[in-house]
Amino acid sequence: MTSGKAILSTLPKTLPAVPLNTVGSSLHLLVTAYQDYQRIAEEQKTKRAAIAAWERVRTEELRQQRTLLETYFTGVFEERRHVIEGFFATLDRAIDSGNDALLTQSISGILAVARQSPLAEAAQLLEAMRNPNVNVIDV
Amino acid sequence: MPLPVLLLWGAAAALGATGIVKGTKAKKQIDQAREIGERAERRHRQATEATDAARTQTQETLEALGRLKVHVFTHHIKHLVEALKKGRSRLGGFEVHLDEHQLREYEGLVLSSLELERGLGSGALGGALAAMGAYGAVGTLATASTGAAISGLSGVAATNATLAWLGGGALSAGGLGMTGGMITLAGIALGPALAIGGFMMASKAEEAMTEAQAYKARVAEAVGELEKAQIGLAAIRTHAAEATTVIERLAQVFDQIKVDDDRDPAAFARMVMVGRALKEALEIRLMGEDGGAIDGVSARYSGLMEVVGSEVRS
Repeated sequence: MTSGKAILSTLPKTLPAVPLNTVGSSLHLLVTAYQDYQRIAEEQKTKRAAIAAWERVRTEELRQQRTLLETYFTGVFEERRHVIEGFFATLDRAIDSGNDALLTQSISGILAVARQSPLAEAAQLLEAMRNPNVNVIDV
Repeated sequence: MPLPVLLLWGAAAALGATGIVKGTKAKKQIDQAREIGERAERRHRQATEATDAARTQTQETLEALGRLKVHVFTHHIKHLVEALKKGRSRLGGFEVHLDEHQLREYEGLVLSSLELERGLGSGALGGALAAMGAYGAVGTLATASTGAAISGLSGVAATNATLAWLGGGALSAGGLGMTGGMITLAGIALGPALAIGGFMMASKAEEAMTEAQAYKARVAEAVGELEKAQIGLAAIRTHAAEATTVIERLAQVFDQIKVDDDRDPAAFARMVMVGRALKEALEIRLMGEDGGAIDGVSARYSGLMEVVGSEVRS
């Protein structure tokens, strides 16, 4: 069995001729890699913060546009339905009573409402939303 | 052993251990980045599929409206034209009248719609019907009356980018650059030493995480636009339903008061008045023929389509 002393006696008594350079260059590589990582990590963290902020703003902007559109379309189509129904009720009365003047009026009313485009108005609403000079949008 | 050498070895060992730990964590971070990308991708696919379904539904609604318009032309307007031809000599005496030119126009439109109706069974006229539903029927039928083959009428739809988009192929879920699954360890090479490789992996993991966040943000925007487009498409369908109601109700009134000739001048004049209103209702436009900003629905041939301000890549 080999004793501890025997093992120790096999170890070199002095370090190799260039150990300091070897250790130094390894450490230099490690330090450079570490510094690169630190710099990249910091840069990426900043980028992610900017991306997250952009996503929050853009998502909120789109959410507001969707809410505006939904509110507008629900309201406008409901209102148009009431108005059109009202004109048709008048039209029925005009036919029953033989009142041609009322017939003309109700038909004109129906066509006037039907010709208006809620989609065109919605596009204007969105345009107003993008316009920084517009402070209030009535829906 | 000299003290500086020991210190250097110690520092190297400590930093090396940190590098190895970073490398281990980097693997986890890259997996997280990939998961973020894949989740975003799934979200985009679902939104695209929902938009596609809404688009198909809108196309079908427009086709149904177009079919109704053809029916009204071939029945109600046809009846009006026939009655007007009988009473042509005395037309000028009525409060509501049509001149010879208008009568010829009506007659031509009825003939075109009859021809169109005959072709409905072929199933090849979906585009033309959608075009009739979307814009005034007159514009579509006038194309036919100028000598264009009825079978070529579907081309009317193709010239409008919005309608072409509605009747076109399924939307692509891609188009946002990289996809979630593309976030991989590609490009990461282990350094000469495990510790150095650990730092390099950690750097790449940071970049991958940023890439995944950027992709997720782009998807969030695209999904928001798609959801906005779905609202626009729903509005087109609601508008089409409203136009359908108006046309059907006026057609009912027309049926109720129609007469075959002008023996009762007052009744005849009333029928002409309602008939003209019915024909005007057939011209209600839900969108512009040029696919421009008219009526809030615009489109461009570049593959981007805009429905009330929403950009949707096709």
